[in-house]
Amino acid sequence: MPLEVWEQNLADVIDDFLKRYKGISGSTPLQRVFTPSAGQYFVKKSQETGVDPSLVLGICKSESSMATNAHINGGPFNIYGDSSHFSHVAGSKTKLKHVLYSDYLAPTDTVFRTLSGYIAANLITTDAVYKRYEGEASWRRNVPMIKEVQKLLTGDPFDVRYQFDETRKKALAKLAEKFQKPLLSLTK
Amino acid sequence: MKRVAIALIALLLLGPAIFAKSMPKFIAFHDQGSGLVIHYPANWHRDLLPKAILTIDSFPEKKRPAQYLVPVGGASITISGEQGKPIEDVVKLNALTPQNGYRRQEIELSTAAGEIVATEFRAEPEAFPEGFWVVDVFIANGQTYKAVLFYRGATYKEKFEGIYSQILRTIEFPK
Repeated sequence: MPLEVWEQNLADVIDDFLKRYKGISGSTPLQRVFTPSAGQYFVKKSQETGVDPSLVLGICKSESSMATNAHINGGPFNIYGDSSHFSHVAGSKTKLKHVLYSDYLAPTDTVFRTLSGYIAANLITTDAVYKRYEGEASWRRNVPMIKEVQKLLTGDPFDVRYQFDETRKKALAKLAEKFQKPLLSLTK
Repeated sequence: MKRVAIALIALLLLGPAIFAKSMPKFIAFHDQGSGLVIHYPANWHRDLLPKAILTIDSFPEKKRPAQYLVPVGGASITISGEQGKPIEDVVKLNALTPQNGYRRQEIELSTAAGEIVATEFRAEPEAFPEGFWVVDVFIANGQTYKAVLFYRGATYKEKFEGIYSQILRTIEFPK
């Protein structure tokens, strides 16, 4: 499905966000591993699954500091904290029971699919989603970090489904202007 | 022939009793906001989710695993109002599409408000081991509703889909 103008703006905003991001060990590898760009890859996944990319990137920041944390629970590519990969704990001698992720694409596809199931089940606020995703014990600690990313990417913590109202379209157009892109109209 | 007839009569006589025994006791929940009255198993646990009319789980909260929503052998049912949205808007907003792994069919629901045509979506996403989704979107008395059953474990299909079906059949809609 081709991207609408506001979707292309969102993709550009995501690329800019990742380019500027400085995590635990420096810049994030996520800006380099997706084609044609991370922004476009995430937006395409959102079109397919109905999950806003700002939520997914917020979870990525909270779980692995955008893949810059060298000690990620479940292996170096488990950047969204997929708990099915937690049989391997970084630094421990625990034997692996599951195949670990070997690139950044598979965990990205999985997290979009997982959260899409949440949306079907009416879990549509960031709090409700992350409480289920992370578990009762520690979800509150990370939620502010996720919401911070959502805000930067014009996402809505009260409705994490992939959608654009006029306010969001305008905000994205304004942000896109800052990247000195050709001025994109809100109309097709 | 006589044996078959006797067996059939026995089944007709005992059928309702067997069904009643396998079905748990149901209690009524009256939602003030939507006006719906929903009958659900008394031994299930109510959960509070934003924007849902009723969410119930077959298991206590402490048994919920992180990430997978319900434990194997467990189920969750949610009913929500969709603010009069057309069915296709609900489909788009929730990505209930073939690209997202959903199969779609039109079904007839026998409810307290009569026969209702519902659009039903089913999926078994790999992200949820042994997970089964059933989503019904339907319009009753001019309002759009979404009902969702999620359970884990193929052997629990009859049990949980039976309870889900019973809940949908007995919903009382506002006039």
